[in-house]
Amino acid sequence: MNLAIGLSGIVLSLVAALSGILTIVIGLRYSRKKLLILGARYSWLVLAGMMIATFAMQRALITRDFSVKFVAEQGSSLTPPLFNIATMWSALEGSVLLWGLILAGYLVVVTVKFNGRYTDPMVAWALVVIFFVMGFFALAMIGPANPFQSFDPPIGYDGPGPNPLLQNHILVAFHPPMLYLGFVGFTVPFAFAISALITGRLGEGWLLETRRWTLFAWGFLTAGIILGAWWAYDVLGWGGYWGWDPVENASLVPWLTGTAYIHSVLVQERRGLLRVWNLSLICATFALTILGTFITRSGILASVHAFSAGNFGGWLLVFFSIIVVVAVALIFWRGERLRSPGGMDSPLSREGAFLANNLAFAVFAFVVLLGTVFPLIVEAFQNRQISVGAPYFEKMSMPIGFTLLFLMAVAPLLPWRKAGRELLVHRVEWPAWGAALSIVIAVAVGARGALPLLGFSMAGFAGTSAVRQLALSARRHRFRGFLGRKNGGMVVHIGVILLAVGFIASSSFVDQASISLTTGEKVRIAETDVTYISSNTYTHPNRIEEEVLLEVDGQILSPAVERFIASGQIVPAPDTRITLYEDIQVALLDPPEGQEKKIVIQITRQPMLVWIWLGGLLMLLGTALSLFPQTRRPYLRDNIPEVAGHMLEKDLQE
Amino acid sequence: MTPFKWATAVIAALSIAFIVILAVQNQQQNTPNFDLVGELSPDIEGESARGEAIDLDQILQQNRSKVPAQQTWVAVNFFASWCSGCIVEHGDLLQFHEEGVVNDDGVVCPTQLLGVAFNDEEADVKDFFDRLGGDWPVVVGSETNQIALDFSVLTAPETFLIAPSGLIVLKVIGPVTYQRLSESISC
Amino acid sequence: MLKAKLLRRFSWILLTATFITALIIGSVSRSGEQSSADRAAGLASSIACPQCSGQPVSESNAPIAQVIRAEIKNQVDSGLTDDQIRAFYRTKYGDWVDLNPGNDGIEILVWVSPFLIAGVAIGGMILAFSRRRDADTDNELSDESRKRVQELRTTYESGESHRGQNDRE
Repeated sequence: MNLAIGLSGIVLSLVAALSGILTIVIGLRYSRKKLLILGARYSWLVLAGMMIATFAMQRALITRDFSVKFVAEQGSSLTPPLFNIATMWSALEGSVLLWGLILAGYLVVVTVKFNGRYTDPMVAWALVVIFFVMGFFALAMIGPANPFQSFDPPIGYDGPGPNPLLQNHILVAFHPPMLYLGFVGFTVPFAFAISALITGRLGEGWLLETRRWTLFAWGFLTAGIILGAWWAYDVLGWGGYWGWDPVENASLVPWLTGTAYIHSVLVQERRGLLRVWNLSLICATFALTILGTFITRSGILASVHAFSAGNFGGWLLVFFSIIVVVAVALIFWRGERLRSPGGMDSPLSREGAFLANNLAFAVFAFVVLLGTVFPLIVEAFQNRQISVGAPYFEKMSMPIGFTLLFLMAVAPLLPWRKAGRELLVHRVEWPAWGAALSIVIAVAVGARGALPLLGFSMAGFAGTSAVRQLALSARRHRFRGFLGRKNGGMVVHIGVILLAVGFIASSSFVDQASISLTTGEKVRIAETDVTYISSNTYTHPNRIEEEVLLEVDGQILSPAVERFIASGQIVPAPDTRITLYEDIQVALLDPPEGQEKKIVIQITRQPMLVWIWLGGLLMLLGTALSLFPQTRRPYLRDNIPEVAGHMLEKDLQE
Repeated sequence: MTPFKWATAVIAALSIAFIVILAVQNQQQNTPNFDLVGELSPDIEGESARGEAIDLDQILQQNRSKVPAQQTWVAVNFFASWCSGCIVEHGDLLQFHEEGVVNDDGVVCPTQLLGVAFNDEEADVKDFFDRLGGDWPVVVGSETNQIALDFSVLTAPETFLIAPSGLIVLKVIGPVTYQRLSESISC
Repeated sequence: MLKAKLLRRFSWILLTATFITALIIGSVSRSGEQSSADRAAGLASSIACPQCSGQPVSESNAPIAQVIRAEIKNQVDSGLTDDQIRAFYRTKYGDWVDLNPGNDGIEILVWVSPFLIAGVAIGGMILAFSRRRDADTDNELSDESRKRVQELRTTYESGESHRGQNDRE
């Protein structure tokens, strides 16, 4: 029953998507307005299909309908309810269904937003592109990634449940959906970019239409990535939160190009420059999300996150090729005609800073992508296997990180078009003091080492610059001074800076050690006093938890080890003491054994680690602020060349 | 073609090359091979749980001065008390140790079984043998790490068969059977 | 006016001095030598556990990871250099077990090409900028422009205007 409902939902979406494409294309060809309007309405059917399929899947999961192969392989009567719902995206086929659902949702939102404009070829072509992407995923769900295959369960069959790591932490309900809201969200600006290339209309219209979408999608992608890092930190026990694993990198690369885009788009809006560059960036970002999905699901690179099945990888690669070929061909054909007239006056300007920003992000994206796929390239040419891991990425991202912090500091200070030296010197004064103060404070609290100190000072430099901007804006507009793109952007920057500080501190000054203990024993390890108090075993429906109680520097922590019944897999459950200045994480490496309940624990101390999550939170807050409309009345400054504005201010003061 | 078109064409070419590489690699599944079969065995030096000195090199040296029929074949078994496969194979190892290997002519080929503990505590190893029996020399202590790495061991159990010349002729990953060992020995 | 300038100059000097002093104090008081524990930890996070999906031995509790961690400590203590230790594991398990790509052969590409790309991009941009060198560099506003600016300003203050379309969200 669920099988039939589910499959019919997918087929409905596929047929609706194809019909949409056909209808709109014919409508465009023969200028039939009615067809264009009809074509747009097919998006509702697409959404209906995806919702029906999702409903069927959830129903199958909740009722433990093992006649559905996906449920038989991923579900279990022992899985707690919340995790059971999340089981839908805990394996390949279900995750593709989630992707399709979110895409259908975005499609309908676009349809609603552009209601009344379906006859505009720009909108029409954009819809065609989104229908096309939808068609691909729907087709995949009938083909290699079919979530509704049948299974004949023997009597008394109970499934193994999802991977234990995916059913012991609440973030499984948030991290994947947010990532997808991000990845899939980029489909919309991509669709409009392709549409702009096809229609040859590259006035600022398409940009404005899609700017908010991009920010929205970017915000979710940021949230998804940070939640992933938090999840890893909470669960693995090594104090690590980012391993430069191929799948992690696959999500980072489109984020980097997306970040470059949301900056360079400002240059296009303000000065009309970088048009073709922005088009290319958004096409690249979308293509990279598909590439990332390919890397995750093809098994081509070994990763703890990979979950592959069948030949879906091959399908994704084909789709990726289509996107790349179409985008590059369109840019080749149309690009020259659409290039921006005029150019930048001076590199020492806001545009120049944004250009440098884009360069830095592009190089960063290149580094991460290259490092990730390099083993494949070497294997293709030399038939031997090498690895490119954390040491490479860490070394290469450091200079880029410094550059980005520097640019973050300097860009808000630079006026558009051209900067006068005196103006700059005046504006950079406070941030420079911020830099000096940061390094003094860092040294005072005990930080040592040239590189971390320089990192802190650069962060202080950037932070003060952002705060200065916000202060100016708040002084002028009070609370409204926090709204809008520029101010929200400053809040995001502050978030990034907090994150950077947390990152520098926690990675430069780690203290980690492991030791074995017997009940009642007290030791001093990694400058921490640890007393082993007791151990307990708890039996849950789906797992057996062996927990120990430790007193760590005066506080009780209870790390555990969980053994999942159905799969037999053992999963760590470390405990962390979080304060603003330090995190102490205790992991139980070896569960209690023998008479004395001997255990092996690992202690990891990292300073200021929570700043990373706080910074991430601020980034999301800033993104939300950016989405709010700015002040109703355009204020004077931004419409007159900055120099004049500055002089006017002096006039007013005198 | 304008510079712009040139640049775009270059990017197109690179992207296509990239996709081709991905497609090709997607088809293959290369598993790394660090088999030691066919190479000379690394040395094993250490102390057994009972305090005896173990020296593989010594056995191989002694082989030099013997006739082929009397040269010793050495089986090296990496195991651990925590590994279930080791319990499974223990019976076969006992048989190998006690009965030895008899060739077609009814002659008993000299064999020596050596155990090496893999990431295990001495007390647990002793306990393992007390429970399951067997009295062949077993290397314990801190050298076991280096020995395991010298043999490129991945996990327990793994068993290597070393011919009298010192060449490794067989590597078994997972529980080994008496059959496997005996059919690879000839003297 | 002059006093202000002097004060400003002084404050910049003070700033720079503070910065450099703090940096020197911070860099110098850290011990130069890396402790052997640090070295072992560093190596452990760049040698992959052969049995895991690419995780370094510092992040895995698989038995072989434990063995390698213990042996790395041993090797560091017995005086082997980082390169020698890496070479050992490469020989035993294959090049892929070293998470740090090497410096010879094709691997050097992965280190060099980002710099090449960055260089090409920067070079391209410099070219693009130098072609626009003839832009007018006059920073000062003429009196006429000033007057015009005042006029515009009055218009804004008094009410609606079409300008600012760009900034309206």
